[in-house]
Amino acid sequence: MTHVVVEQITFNYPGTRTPVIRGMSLVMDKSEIVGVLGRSGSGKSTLLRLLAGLETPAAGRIAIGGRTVFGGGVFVPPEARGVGMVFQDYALFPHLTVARNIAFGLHRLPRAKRAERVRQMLDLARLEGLADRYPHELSGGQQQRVALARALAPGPELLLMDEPFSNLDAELRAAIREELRGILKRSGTTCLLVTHDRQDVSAICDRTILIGGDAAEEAAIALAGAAHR
Amino acid sequence: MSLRDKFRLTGIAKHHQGWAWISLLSAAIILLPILSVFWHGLRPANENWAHIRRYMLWDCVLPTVWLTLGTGAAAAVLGGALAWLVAACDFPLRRLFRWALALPLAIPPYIAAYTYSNMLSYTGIVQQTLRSAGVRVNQAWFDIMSMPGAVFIFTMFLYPYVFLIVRAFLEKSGGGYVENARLLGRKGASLFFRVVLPISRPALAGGATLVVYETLSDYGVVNYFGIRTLTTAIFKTWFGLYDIESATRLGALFLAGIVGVVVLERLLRRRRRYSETTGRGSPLKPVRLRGAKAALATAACLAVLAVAFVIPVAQLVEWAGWTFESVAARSDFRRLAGNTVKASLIATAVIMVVSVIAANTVRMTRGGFGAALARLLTAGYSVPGPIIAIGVLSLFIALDRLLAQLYAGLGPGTAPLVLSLSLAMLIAGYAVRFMATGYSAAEAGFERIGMKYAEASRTLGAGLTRTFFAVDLPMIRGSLLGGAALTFVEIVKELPLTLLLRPFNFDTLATKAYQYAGDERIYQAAVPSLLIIGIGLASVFLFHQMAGGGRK
Repeated sequence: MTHVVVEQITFNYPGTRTPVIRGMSLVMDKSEIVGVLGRSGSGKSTLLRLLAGLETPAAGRIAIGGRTVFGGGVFVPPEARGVGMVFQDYALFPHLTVARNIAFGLHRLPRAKRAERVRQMLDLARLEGLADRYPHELSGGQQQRVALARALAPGPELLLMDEPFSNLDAELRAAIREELRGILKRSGTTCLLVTHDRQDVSAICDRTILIGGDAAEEAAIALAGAAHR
Repeated sequence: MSLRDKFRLTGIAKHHQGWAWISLLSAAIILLPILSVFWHGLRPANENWAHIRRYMLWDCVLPTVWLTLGTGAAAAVLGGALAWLVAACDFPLRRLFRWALALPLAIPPYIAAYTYSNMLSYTGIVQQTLRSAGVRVNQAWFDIMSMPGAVFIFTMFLYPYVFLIVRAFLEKSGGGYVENARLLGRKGASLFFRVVLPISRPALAGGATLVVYETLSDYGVVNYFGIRTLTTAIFKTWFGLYDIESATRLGALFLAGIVGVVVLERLLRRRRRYSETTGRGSPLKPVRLRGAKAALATAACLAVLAVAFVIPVAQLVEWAGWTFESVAARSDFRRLAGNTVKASLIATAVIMVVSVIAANTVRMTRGGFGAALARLLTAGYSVPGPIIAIGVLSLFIALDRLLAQLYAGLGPGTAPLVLSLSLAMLIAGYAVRFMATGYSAAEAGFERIGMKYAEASRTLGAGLTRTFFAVDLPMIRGSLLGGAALTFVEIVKELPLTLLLRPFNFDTLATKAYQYAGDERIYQAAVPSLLIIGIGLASVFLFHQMAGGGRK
């Protein structure tokens, strides 16, 4: 079942001529985890920002969960798109505790349900006992899980992850990849993950898209993807 | 193409134009007084103008130019030399001088002017001491109420602008260049003139520009010393001839000159871009001085600090001791302090609210619109106080005329001028002139936290306004408080704007100190002056803390 549709989108930053993204298309099924692999500067982070509504494409159409969020005169602002995002450096609000960070996106829920949902998320991301800590009191891996829990809490139609492992050391990385795939599959989340590390996508993703690369690289990825399946 | 497309609001701002409109409106309100000065300046001249042009104009243009050039150059030399000394050399008491040499900023030049002129007068402490030692002196030696005297006062009490900026630049990024030059065999004077001076030119120019703006805006020093400048000419036309039209015309000419200089400076600097492009260098490590050189360095810093801070403050403290009972104990002194605090607090609040809204809009907006908005909002800083005063006054009078019908409807006894006799006019003047102080603090705060927290909040379902109150505001609170404190102090010190725009019988510490001094009651002026200096010291301290100068 098609869940996310990106049709022929083009984007260039204001004041520049050459587009960062030109005529890109992409289709994702529900609960699918897709990896986007590319070098720095290939426009992969921009793709996430376009999907989230943090940037506006010059042309094209984007639909999420069967609803057009961009195109044909429609622009749905980020807060109304139902898209969750895990930022590269997590962007946890430093003045709020773990629990209040996770509850931030739940302001539309009644108070009792909100507490319940926060508890669920703490459970899911294995953050029990850390609810009252502040972000700077957490380890890198814990911070990453809080960011994930915060993004998942409102039950987004689509989760976007920007280089989710770049701030973790190699050892931690391997352990967390497995964990992440488990959490995403358990919650049935549709996820688009951007990375420059081939191992990330082969460990987590169902499918890989390469942008801005050459043919040889593409072939290697296809092989890696096949091996994973 | 619609206006909206031209602004190129990004996706984020597109659906929150309320913010953009508030900011645009504020920018317009700030620009209106300045534009109105230009507008009135273009209208046909009245009969006084020929007289003013013949007998006043050139007599005040030349002194203004000399005063500005002299002060700018002297402050650049003194501030630059002290900055180099403190940043590049290690000598006894260096760590004290690093921040203490900024202290003269706490003393407004007009207070320094009457303190020094009285100390150096026939009955002042200097000549008395010399006489009791049997030395007979020529009075001409002590004539500080002259052009060189004014340059001396401005230089000694404004050089810290240059000192602070150049010192920060050298300490932060001078290391790489200087170490390379040393490795290439340069030292001493050659190192200074061939390397240090060229690389610090943008910092020197930035500091000197601030000194020039302050000098141009001054009324207290030049009027007390009897020097004719454009500022005193505006006052004289306004209060001597009661000819606001011609005063506005003078202001427009003055303003045109400043705009010309600013444009010229931009053009000149464009070709020097290279000096800024290298970006971050490495910190400069001070070299230890020994023996006579070290003693000389310490003595030089001590001398500057004594002349520019310790001596005048000590003298004021002595005078304040004589008059404390008669000045501070009076009930109207409390009213004076209350007025000062009230006007400054209201203006600071207005400035901070507008600054935060505008800075938030600017960072959400890409391209020319944001940059232009920021430039317009902060334009008031480079416009001398008296010109802002004229603009604000003519605007308020026009407003009162517009509202005259309304006043008449309220009752027959209502005065025709309501707004232009109220405190609102003074607050508006302060807001126009000091918006830049608050705005740069808000901008720095937003720059420090970046966009990612706001973006995270947006993807979690919070709109721009909720994001601002729940995420941005708590995170930039520190910067805002610092900016508010700096703005407050600037306003407390401001003299010419207050003199021109205050409501009838409304005195502040600054105007009272100035009035005492003008009435030859210098000793009485000491108490309010010390209070202003005390508040100013708090700001120097805050600035030091905020710039991270507390480390090291």
